[in-house]
Amino acid sequence: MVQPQILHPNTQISNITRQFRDAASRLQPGKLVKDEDFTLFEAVGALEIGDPKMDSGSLVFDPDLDEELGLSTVATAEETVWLMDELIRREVAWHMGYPLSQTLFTSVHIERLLWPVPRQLTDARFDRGDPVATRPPSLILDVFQPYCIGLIKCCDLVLSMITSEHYYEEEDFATQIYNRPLLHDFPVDEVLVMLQNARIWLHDSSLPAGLKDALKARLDLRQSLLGLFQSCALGDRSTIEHLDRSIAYIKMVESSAILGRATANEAFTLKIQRKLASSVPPRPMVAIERPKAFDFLRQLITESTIAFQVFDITASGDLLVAYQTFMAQSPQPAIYVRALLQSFLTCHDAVLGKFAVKDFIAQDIQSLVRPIVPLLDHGVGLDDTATDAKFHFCSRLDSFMNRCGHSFLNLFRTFCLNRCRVRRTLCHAALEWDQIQAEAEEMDTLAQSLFREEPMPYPPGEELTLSYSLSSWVYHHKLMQLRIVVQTGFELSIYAPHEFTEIYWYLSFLSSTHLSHLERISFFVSSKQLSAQTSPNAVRETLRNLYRHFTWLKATEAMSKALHRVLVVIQRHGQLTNPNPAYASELLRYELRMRPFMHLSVPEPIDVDVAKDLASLRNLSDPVILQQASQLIQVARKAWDEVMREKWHLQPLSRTEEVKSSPNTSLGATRYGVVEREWTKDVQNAMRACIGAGIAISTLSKAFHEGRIAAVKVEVPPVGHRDRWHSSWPVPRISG
Amino acid sequence: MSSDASLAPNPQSKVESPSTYFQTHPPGISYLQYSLEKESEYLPQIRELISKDLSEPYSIYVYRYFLYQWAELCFMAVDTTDNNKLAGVVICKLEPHRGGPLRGYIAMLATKDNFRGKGIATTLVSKAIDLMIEKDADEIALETEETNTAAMKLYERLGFLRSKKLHRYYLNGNSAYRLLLYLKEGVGTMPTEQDQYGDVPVHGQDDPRYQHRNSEDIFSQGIV
Repeated sequence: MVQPQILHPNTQISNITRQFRDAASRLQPGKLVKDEDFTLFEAVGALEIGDPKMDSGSLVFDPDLDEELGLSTVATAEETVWLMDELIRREVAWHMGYPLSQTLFTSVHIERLLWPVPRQLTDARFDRGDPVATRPPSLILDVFQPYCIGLIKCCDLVLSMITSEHYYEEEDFATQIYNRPLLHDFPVDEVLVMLQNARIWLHDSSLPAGLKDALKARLDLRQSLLGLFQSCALGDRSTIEHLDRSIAYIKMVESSAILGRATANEAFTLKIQRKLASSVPPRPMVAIERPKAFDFLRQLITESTIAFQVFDITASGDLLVAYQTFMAQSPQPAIYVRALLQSFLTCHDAVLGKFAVKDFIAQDIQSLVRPIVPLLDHGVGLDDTATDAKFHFCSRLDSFMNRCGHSFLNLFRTFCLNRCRVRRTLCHAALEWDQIQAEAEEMDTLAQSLFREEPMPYPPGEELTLSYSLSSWVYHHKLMQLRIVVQTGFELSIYAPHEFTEIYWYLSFLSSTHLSHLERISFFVSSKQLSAQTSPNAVRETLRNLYRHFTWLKATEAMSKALHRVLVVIQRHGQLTNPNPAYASELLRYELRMRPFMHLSVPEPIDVDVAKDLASLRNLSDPVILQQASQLIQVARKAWDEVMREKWHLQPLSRTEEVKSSPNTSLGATRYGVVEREWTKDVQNAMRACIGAGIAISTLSKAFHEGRIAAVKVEVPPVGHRDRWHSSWPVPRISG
Repeated sequence: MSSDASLAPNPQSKVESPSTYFQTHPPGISYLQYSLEKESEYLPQIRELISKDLSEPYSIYVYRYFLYQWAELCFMAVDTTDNNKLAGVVICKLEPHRGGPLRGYIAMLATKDNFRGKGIATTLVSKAIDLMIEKDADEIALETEETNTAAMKLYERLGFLRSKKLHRYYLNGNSAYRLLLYLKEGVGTMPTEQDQYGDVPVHGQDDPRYQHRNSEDIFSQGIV
């Protein structure tokens, strides 16, 4: 019986054992007594006490479990090699998103260094609390221990980078450290010194050359990783030479892994999980296969280094292309790299460490719409009589720019999210930009009267209208977001093949809308009124920028129109048809599918009947549709050619140190010009999809003329399939 | 379920209700609605069938969470030739989603290996959907592993659409798709406590209940 403790004078104790027993006796065994607020989450979190699959604490009664985790303070060189490689397999698993409890924190060595939490770096020792005062020098203490400390410090820097940017807990990364700060308070330089000393120790040792080199390569790789993470944390660019060296170390580590021998003592154990968090079911150990782990490391090091190439970019539009392209790589860059790219946006409190947010956004607006309003120097263009109005306008413009700046930078950040989140976040962003557009229109209206903008007939010969520059800029970005929502829908296989007809139709609608919008912007930019405000060069620059967007959209429009037509014909002949009967009507499915677009004020949501009617092309015969498709795909091919000629960036890149040192290579041509490479690959793949669509069209036409169109076989190669030329452009493959 | 060739949609046929179209009665199989007094006979079998393909088991509380609150939304297929042993099961719930639409949720679906390809899973789901419709559900949701093409085909034939992909959704690191079925007009515009997408980027939350996952998100490892 528990004896009563000290009680508050106003507290009364009553024994409810009997009531509890009475109540319990009226329940069926197993009956759920559920509190109102007991959620599914809690049901999932609940453990069955005593079931070793759920209750890690029940292992207390495991006779195999020693009081202390066995940690051997001797290891052969072969074992040390093996231990280091096993740690790397777990380190990579952690980078990939598995929690420490299933990865590095299964290591008895790591646990010994981190628990109890060391107060000073010298506390982090394997032989902590050892009765023997000083140990003789040994591989494990003088080489493996510093290696582990280096590894933990790497993890600390990685964790800090990721947690200071946008990421998704569990999806991208598990940040839990189980009250074991990863040597956070100790400076990197001290750790680097330890690694250096370990290297010297190794050098002086009498180990066989092969093993010595193997261990050296592992220390070098660790040192080089730590150096890289440190410079990334400081926003310092590391050199291509450093990258080359790191890649060479990985190669040496990889090729010498064969020398490793597993330790006799258990070096990795799930028993540690019990000490970390007792309320969580035991989870399996995760270690990535060696070849995959090394591939991952290579990619991580390469991308963390070459990511800094975006610092050479001088224009906001080019930077957006770079972020988009860099992040669309498959496999997608690791969460560390995605966080690193985000950190560049606030590097030394400025975008790329050189643009104030306001200048950055002003430059983007200028380069696209050349507004009549001076964005930065408000005084210009206003006469003395306008003082009050001017003051009012300036302060509104300021707050508008501030708000937009935030949303604009978020666009860059969004591309750094995992692909599923990119799409979902852009759905939100489009709604936000829809609101910004309304505000921008108000600003435009104010500016029109303040700056006495003369209305002009647009389209030429039609009604008089005004430039609406700011809202035009907003609308451009919103339309881009909507297009990416649709295209990532293809990339992520959100759409089933029977939906492709309507989705391609909607994509062509979005691109047509965008094209008309760009045409409108060009009209006002080149009008005398607006161009009088700026230098002819600036106007030319803007028109060129618009033209580049125009060609890309022209290609997208023509290609989506062509594929829409291909799919209409296919569906007419009974393939890829909508499930029928089904529990959801066409209307309900339309409503669900179009949800991201249904709450926008512009482009206006399209009524289901209108959409179905337009998408069906019901007044056109098969041969007419196929004829149109064939012409459209020609247009698309020409447009992609033009896109390719234009290259990925509008403004010249600033020359980097590395390029200066070898003046014969331009940045784009260097073997690490990642944006250039990926962008080119993307356009080339779109071209291949275009060619594929052309083949589908001629196969269909032939089948039609031979009267066997109803018998053709239609397949859509899934993402990742050899014949899926572009992930965002599914093209039906037609045979038979 | 991919071998359900007999169930391939036939656009010519005029079927009054989708359920008659989707529900099959293979010989020897009979369908039962779960109820609490069946617990001792069927709960252990249900657990066994569901856990078979899971790397980490659900606790008994998870099954009871569903079965005590929505017993009628659990349908079982039993083998009448073998002591009415369990051949397949679907477990669901139905409640307002974030204070908005009344959402049916298909939490678990499984058919025993040797009973697959007979349309049993489709029938079970169809029965659950029928009852949810009867109970005035606005929409039905579920998640399925991205690699489970059979399950996706099954649900897409019923009229579900993939609404989003969920990155590294399962503990094994695999991603999932959320599938949705609207049952009424205007569901997409019904107000909820959070915004309609319900997953604004936030990070660093320390309360596990407010992590990116909805409580229900942990479910629906449709095993077909």
